[in-house]
Formats: sequence, C-alpha cells, structure tokens
Amino acid sequence: MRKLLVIFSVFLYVFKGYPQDIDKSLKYEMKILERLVIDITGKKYPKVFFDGVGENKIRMIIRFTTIKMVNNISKADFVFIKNKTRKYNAIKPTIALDFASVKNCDFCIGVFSWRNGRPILILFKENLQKFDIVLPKEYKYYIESKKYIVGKK
Amino acid sequence: MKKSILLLLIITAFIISNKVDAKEDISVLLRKYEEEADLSKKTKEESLGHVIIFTRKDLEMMQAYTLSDILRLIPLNNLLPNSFGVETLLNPGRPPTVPFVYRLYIDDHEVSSIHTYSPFLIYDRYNLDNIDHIEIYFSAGAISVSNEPSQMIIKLYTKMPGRENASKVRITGGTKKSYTLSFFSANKINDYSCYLITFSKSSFKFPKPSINGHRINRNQTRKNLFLKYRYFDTFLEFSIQDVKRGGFMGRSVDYSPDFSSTYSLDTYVVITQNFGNDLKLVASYDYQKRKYKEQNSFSDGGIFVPSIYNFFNPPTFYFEDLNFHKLAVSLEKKLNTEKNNLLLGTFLRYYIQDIARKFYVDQTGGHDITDTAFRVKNFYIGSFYVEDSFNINEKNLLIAGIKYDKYKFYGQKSKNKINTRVGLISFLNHSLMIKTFLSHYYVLPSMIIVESSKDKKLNPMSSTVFTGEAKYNFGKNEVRFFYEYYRVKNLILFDRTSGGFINSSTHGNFHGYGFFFKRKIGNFTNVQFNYWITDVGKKKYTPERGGYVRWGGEFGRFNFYSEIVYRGSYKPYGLKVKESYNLKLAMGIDLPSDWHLKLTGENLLNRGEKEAYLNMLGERGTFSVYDRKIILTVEKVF
Repeated sequence: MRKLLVIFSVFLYVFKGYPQDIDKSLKYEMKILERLVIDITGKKYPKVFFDGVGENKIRMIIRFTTIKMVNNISKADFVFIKNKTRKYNAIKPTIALDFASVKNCDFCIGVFSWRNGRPILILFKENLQKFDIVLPKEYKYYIESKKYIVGKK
Repeated sequence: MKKSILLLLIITAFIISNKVDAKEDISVLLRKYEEEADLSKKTKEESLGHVIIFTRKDLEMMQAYTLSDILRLIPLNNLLPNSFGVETLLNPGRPPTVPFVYRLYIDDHEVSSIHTYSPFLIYDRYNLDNIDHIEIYFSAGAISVSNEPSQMIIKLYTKMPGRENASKVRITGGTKKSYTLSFFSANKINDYSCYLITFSKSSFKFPKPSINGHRINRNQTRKNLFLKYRYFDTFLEFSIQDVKRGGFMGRSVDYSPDFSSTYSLDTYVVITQNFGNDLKLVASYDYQKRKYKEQNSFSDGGIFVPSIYNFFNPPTFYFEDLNFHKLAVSLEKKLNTEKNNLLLGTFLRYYIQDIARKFYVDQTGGHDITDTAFRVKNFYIGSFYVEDSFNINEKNLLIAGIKYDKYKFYGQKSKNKINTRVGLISFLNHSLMIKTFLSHYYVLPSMIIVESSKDKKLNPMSSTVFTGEAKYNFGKNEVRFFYEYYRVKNLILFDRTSGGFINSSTHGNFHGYGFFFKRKIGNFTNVQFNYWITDVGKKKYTPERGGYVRWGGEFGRFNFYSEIVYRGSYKPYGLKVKESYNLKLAMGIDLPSDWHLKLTGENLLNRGEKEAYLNMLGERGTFSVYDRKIILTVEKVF
C-alpha cells in the first residue's frame, strides 16, 4: 500500500509539471501544431524539419508534443518554415508559420499564423492533392484554393 | 483494492494530463487558442484594483468604434455631456462638469489633459481601430502607477502588429450624417521589428437642445494619426489628433451662447524601453493646444469667466488660445521571488502652460489679458513608490504599497504627500474569490481648478476608500458583488457666492454597490447583467443607479450583439428626469474576400439618457443626450 502511495505521488508530480508550466495559449498552439502534423503524416511520432523557425518555438514543440526534430530534410515526414524571404521549394509536406513565407513557397500545403487579430489556418487544396494528403472531415472548413491567399500576403 | 487504485491512477492521469490524448476538434482547438491568447490575459494587473475587461472579441462584437461606446457601460458612473459638450464620466450625483479623478492610458502613456486632468476632451470619441482591448480599473489610490493619484484608470492597449499582418479600411455612415473614414495597417517586419499605423477622420452629430431660444450644439469633427514601431525591446509611439466641436452651453450665463467652439489638439511621443530583468523605462513628451471661442449677448447675461466676470458689465465675447507641454519619465523595476513580487518605481512629471492669447470684449470694448490673467505657469510632481505582493500561501495574496509624492504648483511652496494602500486577494475555494483594498490617498486639483479657485490655491482632497468584491463561479456562470465606500475630506466644490472653487469644510461620504452576472453560452457567446446603486439620493444632478443587460455571440459568418443601458430616474433642480433605457442592436456578417458588413442601431427605443440644467438666470429644463440612429459600416481587410 505504501509503495502504491509513493508511486501515486511520483505519478502526480511527473504529470503536474506539464500543463501548469506553460501558458495556456502556448499549450493550445502546441496542440494545434501537433494535431496538424499527426493528421497530415498519419504518424504518431512524426519527424519534423524546421527551417527558419525560432529556437524557442522549436524547443517548445519538442518539449510539449510528440513531434521529433530531424536535422536533415530528407529524413523528415514534415516541414515547418518561417521567415522565408526568397523562393522556397517544398519537397516535403510543408506548412508556413507566417504569411511572408507562404507567398514564397509555391508548394506549401498551408499556413498557420495570425492575421487581423485571430489565428488563421488555411490549407491549400491543390498542394494537398499534390502530396496525396487526405485529411479528416473536420478540416473541410480550412481547405481553400491557393488563389485565396496568393496575392494577399 | 489494487485494481481500484490502478483505476484511480489512470483516471487521475487522464484528468491532469493535457496531452492531445483527448481528441478535440481542430476548430475547437483554434477557438480555445484564440480565447487563451487574448492579450488582456497578459496585461491584466490584479493588484491595481477591481477590473472590468473589454476584450478584442467584445469590442468587435459590440461594434464599439469609439471610446464612449465603452464608457457608457462602466458601472457606478454616468456618461453625460458636460457644459462644454464633452461626453464625460461622472460619479453618480455629480453635476456634469470637468472631472479630475479619471486617468486614461494608451499602452504605457497617460494621455489625460495637462490642464484639467480629464482625458475626455480629446478621447471621448477616440477611434478604437488601433485598440486591441480595454481594461477599466476601479483603482482608487493605486500605488503602482506613474501618475497623480486617481479614482479610476482606463487602459487602452494597442494591437500587436505580429498578430495583425493586415491592413484595413473602414467606412462608417449614420442616419444623422455622422461618418468615419479610417485606415489601419500593422505588420511584423521581421522577428525583431514591427509597425502599426492608423489614421482616421470622423464627424459626430448630436441632438441640439433649445435653451433660451437658441439651439446649442456639440457636434464634433476629429482627425487622428497613431504610429507605433518596435525594434527589439524598444517601443516608439507617436500620436496626433485634433477635435473641433461646438462649445455647447459653454460659459454663458444663460447656458445658451450665440456662438461657441472648442478646438483641441493633442500630440505626444513616447519611448518605452524594456531592459530585461523586469526593468522598464518610459519617457514622453506631450504638447496640447486648446482654443476656445464664445459669444453671448449682454441681454442674455454675457459669459461667466471666473475673475473677470462683472454682473453689470459681463464679457460678451471671450477667446483663449492655450499651449501646454508635459515632460514625463518613469522607471520601474520588479523583483520576483518565490513569495514576493516587489515593485519599485519612480516618476517625474513637469508641466508648462503658455498663454498664446486671452482676450475678451465687454460693454467698454476689447481687453487683452494675455499677460495679466492668472495662470499656473508650471507644475511638477515627483514620486517614489514601493508595492509588494506577498503570497501568504497558495490561496492568499497580500498587497501593500506606499507612495511618496512631492509636488509644486507655480507660485506656491512645494508639498509632500504620502499615499498608502493595502489589499487582499483570497481564493476561499476553487469557485469563490474575494478581493479587497483599503487606500488612503490625495487627489490633487488640476491646473484649471486652481486657476478658477477663489484664492488661487487649493488643498488636495484627502480620500479614504474601501473597496471589496466577491466573485463566485459555478458551471458556466459567474456572479460578482462589488462594494465601495469613499470618505473624502477637503472636498473641492464650486462656490456660487465667490464665483470660484473652494475647499469645502464638509466631508463627503459615498457608498456604492454593484451586482454582476455573466453566463457563458459558448465560445465568444455570453449574456451579462449588471445593476448598481449608490446612496447619493435622487435629488442630485446625475443618476444614482444604473445597469445593463448585454448579450452577444458568433454564429458562423454572423455575429449579433444587443445591450440595454439603464439609468435610474432622478430629480435635479426640482425637475423629474425619467429613467432611461438605451437600446443598441448590432449585427455583422463576414463576406468573401475579407469584406465585412455591419449594421448598428443606437438608442432604438428613443428612451436614452436625459440631462437636466439650471442656468444662472434660474431657467431649467431637460434634454435628450442621444438621437435614435442607424449606422452602417463596411470594412475591407487586405
């Protein structure tokens, strides 16, 4: 019985650390990124390559999601890009984390960023098809033609 | 036994773990993210006082385009035009004059008038296109602020460019020929710099009551430009705006000038530097210009200008052109330990007044009093303050602060004052929170009040204030009770006999009670109810009670909002003013390609606020403050 209580206490301690440590909004941001990658790749522990994404954000993603970081794009299942001011060739399913990057990325499958004061997720129909990605029905409100975003930002 | 403990472990893990195991719809996650990422959650300062927040979502849903759309909802206060036609917050019962107990901030900069301390002359209809959210603090005697002690602090936080990445054009037109043209743009340039710019032009029309055979007007036209630029941890803000408005009753003896107008211009530049380690420096320069012109015939009693008014030969034309400068610097340092959050701060403010021209005409001719009129040429205040928030335990927080002020009005000796405040925030359980503050502080008279005083000298009003609130959450509901008690010594009042302000020997006692109920129906959908009452009695100049019912929500591409603002009946000057119910309905639709169409109806019952007057000739009456009108807005985001 005493052992169980010890295990129970350790258990509580370990889990307690996670959600309380971070800002709730950050927690939801991590959840969204994780959900996106899992649903797009179909893998529970997807390997992701980060290009141009800030170190802090990468650290958060690695710490609070099941995403694994890889340093070589060829080993990645998925790519996140940010701050791309020149043409970017997406050879793997790629999501941009800002509007400037998506403008320079013809084959990005979408963008997740803030616009007009609210978080925006847009996935591009044409590029999802290019990578043979079929998403659950819940994403249907977020799938648009790329024409929607090109020329705006 | 073991099985049941194992089951307990699994259930506990499930509950306390926030990993993505419980699959939530992506749209639910996005909504929760937006809700939790609301900037007010980061800027709110519980230790400052009792706070009411209007989030970005609230402002959008309410179609609140100007500050007065928000001010009218503030409990335990009235919003009415004062004698100069400026929509002004007033304590219940107080006559519609120029208050000096409210402070308005835009980000880290206090923008209240240098001359009067009232922010409303410029900001009553301030365009909110650059504002993310608004925090209203019932913060009597708050210590941790870089301004003269006050009763209420209104904080406007500008939008974060990194969350905008867009430009917006807004055109608003109303049935009474009011309009606004507004442009807004904010973008992140790179990871360490961003900008925000907004400019607008508006015209607002109001009812023109007829007093003593003349129609008086307070219509206003305003322009504003606001710029914000961030470079690493340095923020630079620049603002310029001007307002031209009808002078309304002005200073005319019969409250009905033949002509009156006010021109006000405010501009400022502020630099905020965050040094890391919770050290912040704010430095600013403000320039404010006021031009006032009024004409009233001798037969109507002329114009009442303190110190030059003569019953037998009153001024019939009055003109003043005043310039004000304010230099302010503040430094704050936070020291956080496990048990204590200690705030150390200091600020220095220096005000200068130049009279460009002061002139009047009476029966004997024109008189230029630019050099002879008494004015407070300068004023300074320096302050040191310390506030500690001590975590007694996980559920109880004790706040204690002390502030030492040294100030000097031109022509007077410098004086020292000490302000103190203690507070307790206690979570009795998960549902019930209690927050109380006891403050002792001094409210300084403004420059204009000193200039208009009988002896050109006034003592500050000494205030002792107790405020308390109890907040109870159950399910999706939140109930809040609020209580405030003010005891004010040396009340500064206008003395009709001497024709100037004096320190009254009477003490003021004031009790206020508020009840709030909020029910969250869904994400960004809720209903709210408020009722407040005070003990000032009905025979005062403004209502003693009020409240509101508000409801709003988002439904796909549509959003709806409705509010009824209530103010109780009152009996000023022996008149009976009926209770008012100002109904607003708003509807918005998001169209393809980021077009947005919005429709608002204001004062739809035509039973909005009424105000009473009694002029110096003994004539009295009431008038409606707002018209019934329909407003159409088109927005394009690109």
